Amino acid sequence: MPQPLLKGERLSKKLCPDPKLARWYHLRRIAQRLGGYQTQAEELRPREFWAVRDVDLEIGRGEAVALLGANGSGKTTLLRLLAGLMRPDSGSLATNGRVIPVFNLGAGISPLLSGAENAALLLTIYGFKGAELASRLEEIRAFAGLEDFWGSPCRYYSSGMVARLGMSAVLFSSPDVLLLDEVLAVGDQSFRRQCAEAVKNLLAKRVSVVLVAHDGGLLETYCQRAVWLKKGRVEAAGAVDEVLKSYLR
Amino acid sequence: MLTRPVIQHIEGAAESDGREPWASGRPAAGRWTGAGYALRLGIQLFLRDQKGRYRDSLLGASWSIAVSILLSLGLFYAQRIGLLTVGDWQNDYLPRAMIGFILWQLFTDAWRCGPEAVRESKPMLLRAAFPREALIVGKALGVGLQFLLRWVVALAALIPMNLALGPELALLPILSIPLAALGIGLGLLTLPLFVFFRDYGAAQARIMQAAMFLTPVFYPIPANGALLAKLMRLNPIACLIDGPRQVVLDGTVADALRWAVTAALAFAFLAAGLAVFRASISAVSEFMGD
Repeated sequence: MPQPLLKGERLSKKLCPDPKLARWYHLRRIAQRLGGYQTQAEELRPREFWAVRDVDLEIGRGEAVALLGANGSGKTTLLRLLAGLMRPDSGSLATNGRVIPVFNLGAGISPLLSGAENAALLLTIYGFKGAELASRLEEIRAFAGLEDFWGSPCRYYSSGMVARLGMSAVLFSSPDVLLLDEVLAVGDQSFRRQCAEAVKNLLAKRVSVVLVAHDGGLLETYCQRAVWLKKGRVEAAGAVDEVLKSYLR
Repeated sequence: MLTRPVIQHIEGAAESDGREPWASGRPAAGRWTGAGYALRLGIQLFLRDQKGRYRDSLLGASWSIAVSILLSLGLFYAQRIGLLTVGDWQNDYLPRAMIGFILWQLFTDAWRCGPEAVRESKPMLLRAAFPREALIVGKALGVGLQFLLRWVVALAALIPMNLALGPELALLPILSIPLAALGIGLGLLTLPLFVFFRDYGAAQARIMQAAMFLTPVFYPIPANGALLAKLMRLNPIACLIDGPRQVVLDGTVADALRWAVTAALAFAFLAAGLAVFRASISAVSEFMGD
């Protein structure tokens, strides 16, 4: 059986919405990490809640999985755990390949730099260098369709143009796993069609996608499986149409 | 059964075209390792900061050296009218004060380097996966560049004065590395305080102002004044400023062993600071939020 690209077992993450308490919890966690030990944080302390609780998730190569759930159900926190941007309080995560999370298409784009300069920086963040970076840059330039604005500072861009630049850099970053958090509905109709085509091409190249969206049609277009999160726990998982039916019921 | 949190890579992952593994812990054959990736990204972040820094500003990069130029002119004028004759520095007050000041600026900039890097990168910390050390590399390079620019201004001010300056003057950037290491290390050690307690940043600024007076920046360690002299001798920053200054101006350092021990201690602080940074960056990012 082929190895999964992402495998999370009993992933759990606690959050505390009270900054006064949260800072002490974080300081304790830092002290524990420095001391080389981590207690198993199974109990909730005052004001804490489980943002993600005991989630098992396995993503194979070329699979597209939808994450469903109401606002605050833990979708974004789970994506952050899968991307390694947050440390789980318990459970384990194994990754096999390059995981690119996309939460906001403007992240990392400096308004003072040109589209070309920003795209080059994003590609460096994604790990490219040298000739490979230069060739990807040309592909991004052609795909983003920013034409005369390519050399202009991004503060002269509309928000749709910034999103085009960010999305183009993501699509040409050669990910093994893409984690997309409500970012497929950006730009105008023609750019959305372009993105839809590009995501389908990535899936055809056996790239895996975890997709968070509230548009059932979009999820059914791309995904075979779905996981429905409710208050941080998996409420249902299975074929996308069945899970969507239960979720919308 | 409770499980320990683990983030790991499954063995056997295929490398693909031109990409770098991040946080994988596996060496990538023929490609940059994690440290190389952090260094290269740090350089790109440094270049981004420099490109964006003075764009649209009328005076551009000259702002970097404006304070040094004004200080040089002020000190030069004060010495010419005989205002400045301080203790043992009667004959060469100007170069000693100027070198002391640019070294002090290096220390304070280095201390701020870690906290500022994290604060400015807040929008990216919970959104993009990259080696976080790159943030420190990028900022530290910026601090180094600022120091070099101030150093060039100081040289430009000192050389025409026909002071008895030797070639040791050129050694200052190398000799000041331990001071920068101490500053960066202290900044990283206190990073969690800076993020979790807003009043720490304000308190630290006041403490730094007071600390400057306990450091021989604008005047030498007093020969008498028992308490102040003792405090200055205990101050490791004083040693790391006075040592390089003595080398470049006197050709020798009065207490080489003490300087060497303090320099080693500075690198130990840097190592400890990096350990705290690695242990705290995840918690710090979560606390700062989006």
